[in-house]
Amino acid sequence: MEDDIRQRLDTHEFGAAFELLLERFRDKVFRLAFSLLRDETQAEDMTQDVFIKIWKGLPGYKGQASLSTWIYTITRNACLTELKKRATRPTISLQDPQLEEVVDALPAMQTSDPQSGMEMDAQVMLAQLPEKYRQVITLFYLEQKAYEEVAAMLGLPLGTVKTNLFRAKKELIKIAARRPVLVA
Amino acid sequence: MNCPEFESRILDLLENQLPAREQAEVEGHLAGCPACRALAAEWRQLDAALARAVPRPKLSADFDARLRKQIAAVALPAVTERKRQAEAEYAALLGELRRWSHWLPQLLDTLGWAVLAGLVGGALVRWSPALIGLLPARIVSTDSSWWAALLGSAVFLLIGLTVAFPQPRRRLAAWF
Repeated sequence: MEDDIRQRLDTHEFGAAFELLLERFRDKVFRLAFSLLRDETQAEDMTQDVFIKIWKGLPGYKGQASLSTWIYTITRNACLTELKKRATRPTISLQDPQLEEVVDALPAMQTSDPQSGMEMDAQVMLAQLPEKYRQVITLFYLEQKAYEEVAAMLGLPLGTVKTNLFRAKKELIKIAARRPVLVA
Repeated sequence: MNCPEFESRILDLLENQLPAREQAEVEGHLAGCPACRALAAEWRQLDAALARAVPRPKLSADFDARLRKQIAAVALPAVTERKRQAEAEYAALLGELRRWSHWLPQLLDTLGWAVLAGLVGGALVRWSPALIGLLPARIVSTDSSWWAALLGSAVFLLIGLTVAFPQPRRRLAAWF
């Protein structure tokens, strides 16, 4: 799968190699960034940054690791840096009286459609999962349940991905049991 | 209460991750265990809810165009080019050193054999009366047999060297 890209790198055709990389990894990098950052706009910006890093790094790529491993590692590291930055930023407290007024003025997120209600509940349940479980579940469904791909993207052994998925689903069942309306 | 030992295998079964032999075993268990059947139904329901609930983000339509614009502004940095040149120079130097390191032991080996030939030749001349007899009388007297040995060594050393280094030998021959 990567042979044609490597051939172009060997002959220093970096532009052509980059185009092939972009075509093959653009969406995967975006989905990985989204699963880690939980924000579509930030994930898109991150994908841009990652591909600029890839472009700058292509001449120095020595092929020790596979291209996909290299790209996913760049993505994970960039996202972790962003998450660390986020953690140090001041946050708005929901206890702020002014903010409480604004929140109270918003229309309640209610729906009469039981199907969309369940989906909204599943999203709420996902948000309650520990981060490592939420990431693996999100990516698992985004990648059409491709276990090996999820393991490669998260840089985890396949067994760890399977264990985390199992534990995440057990946790979701427990959360659903506390909210009888959710998966009913 | 479902059976804990079957919990993860039921999930694997639903995700088609079980080998055929185990699949039959878990299916057999499900047929006879209402608690595990209920669990399987719960897994399925959760799976369907998650499949629908996980957001499907999409890149903006102008993503590629924006990226290419940024890439155009970031030409491959000169430092990368310099690094590549330095690496090429380093590789060339390493190759040169390898050639030397290959050539040097060969030279020492050859010289060693030539010196050994010289020593053996010298010893033969020194201790063999028949060979001393071959040398001109005015060069060799009984008192100067060590000189004769030295001369013999030099002759054998020269022979050894000319055998070891055919190219200089051919050049010398061409001069004469």
